[in-house]
Amino acid sequence: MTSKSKSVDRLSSLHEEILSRILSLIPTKSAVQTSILSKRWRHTWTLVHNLEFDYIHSSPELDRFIKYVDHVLHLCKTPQIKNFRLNSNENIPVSTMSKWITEALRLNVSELESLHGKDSHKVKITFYYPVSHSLDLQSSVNLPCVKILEIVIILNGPSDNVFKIIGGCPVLENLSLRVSSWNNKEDYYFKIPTLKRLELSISDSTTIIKNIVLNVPKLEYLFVDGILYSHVVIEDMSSLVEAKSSCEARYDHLGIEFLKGLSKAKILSLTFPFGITLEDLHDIPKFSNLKQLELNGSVGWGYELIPQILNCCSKLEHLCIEKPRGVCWKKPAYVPTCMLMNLKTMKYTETRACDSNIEFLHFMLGNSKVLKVVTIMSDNMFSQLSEEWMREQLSMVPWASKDCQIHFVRSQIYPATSLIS
Amino acid sequence: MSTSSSSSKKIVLKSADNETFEIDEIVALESQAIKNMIEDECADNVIPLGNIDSKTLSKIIEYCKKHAESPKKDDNADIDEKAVEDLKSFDAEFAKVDMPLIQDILMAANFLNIDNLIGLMCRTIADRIKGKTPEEIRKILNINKNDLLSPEQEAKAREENSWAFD
Repeated sequence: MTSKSKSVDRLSSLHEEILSRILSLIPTKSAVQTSILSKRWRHTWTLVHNLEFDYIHSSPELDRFIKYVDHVLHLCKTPQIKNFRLNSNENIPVSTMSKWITEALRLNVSELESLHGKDSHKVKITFYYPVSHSLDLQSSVNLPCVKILEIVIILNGPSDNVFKIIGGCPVLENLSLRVSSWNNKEDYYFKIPTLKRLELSISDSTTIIKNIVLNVPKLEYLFVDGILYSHVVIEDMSSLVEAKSSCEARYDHLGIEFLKGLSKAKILSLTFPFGITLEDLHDIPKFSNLKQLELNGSVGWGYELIPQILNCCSKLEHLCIEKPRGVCWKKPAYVPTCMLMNLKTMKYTETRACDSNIEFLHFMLGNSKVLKVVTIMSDNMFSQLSEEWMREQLSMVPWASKDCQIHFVRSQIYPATSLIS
Repeated sequence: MSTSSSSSKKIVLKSADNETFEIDEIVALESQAIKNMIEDECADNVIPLGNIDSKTLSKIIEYCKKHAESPKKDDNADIDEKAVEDLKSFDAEFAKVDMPLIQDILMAANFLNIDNLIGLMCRTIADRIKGKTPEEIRKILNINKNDLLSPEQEAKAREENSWAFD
């Protein structure tokens, strides 16, 4: 390497790493063009660590652009992309955008930025661990248009990356997070001022209890599914309208604590087992806004929980109860306020013509003063004879509401769709 | 380009054409490779650099001196903006040399493991090839005619990456 060798191409003898560093500093399109420079440069561009795609043409070319980005991402062999930037004035299909972002994350991207068309605001990201176990988003994610984000985490993954992506979506409205296992080393802090819908599904976790903190002032819909190992701390959920939980709390009081956080909801759906213990019964919060309540699954402690819960929902108008199995009906010493004042409809699912059911329905019919419609849902095994027997049984007590009607609906399955009187 | 000053420890570098350069140890430490040698106590009085000529080496020492004198970022979080600007304009001036020398400096910086300088040279090369046609880049980088792709190979590469050539 002396000055005498002026005519020699020194660069070609350099390590690939250095060449790719040079190519990372020019636009990706120019970097790809270097594939024809010489044999040495043929595949060097595939090691670039910055990818920038600009698309500002008219729509007929969009297909080619998509193929090109696909092609580049497919050939790119760099162990870590530092910066992935996508700029387009066209609407790139959601599935394509999602695929690219997932691909960029597979390439361990540390900075993700997407500036694109007005309607492409939905992104689904799938983390496949352990393939990208080394994923380390050191820097920022910037998805200024993304309103709907679905994150699926297969196996265990570091949660801070998830929160970096969420943090990079300043207008996020709809977040769906499915985690098969996450590591409860720190709190999961959801502070998303624009969020309206949150679906959280956790199928497993380590046993260390930490907090899931929700600071989501605009949240209207919350769905929690899976197994709850963490305290749910609600800092701000003041706009909540509807909450749905089919999770099972694994530690005492986690369930009831969570329920307390939902006390402002207008519509509530709980699937049991929820993890409420008998000791928790007196801790059930007042649901002062609740109009519609659905209790699914095996409610637990049979009917004991039902009047307790009803007693906390003074404004309840619509009640839907599924599969009330368990111990016998024990008539409570009180009549919940909602039955005296507000309860208008009741749907009762998977009913067997047994005594417990009859006693429970006697209580409901005998005390609900404004009840209009009772729908009794059952499967095809429920015969015409059973129906007649049940009608007869129910007519044996005076009904508190004179104009209440009873409908029997039979179907193979029990979803609410079959509710046609 | 000998440097003689103060009582600080000196390091002597010897170029491929047997020229010696005495520099402060602090300047030599800009090179991660020399730093490792010193730390491992492999460095004798004179460090021979058999693959770096004196012209390239003197440029590298010039760079290292300037950067060693400048306050480091990790020393002080709110580093003097003027110092940053000063270093920037130094770098810009420093890079105003011909392409063969840039390539020599880059190779030497790579050998000596001086990351900032590698970065500066990469940026300089990138700036010079940016927006140029492949033919122009071949000229700028002095790519050997024997290394060129065959017409068939080039056609295949163009086909493969067709969008990039629009």
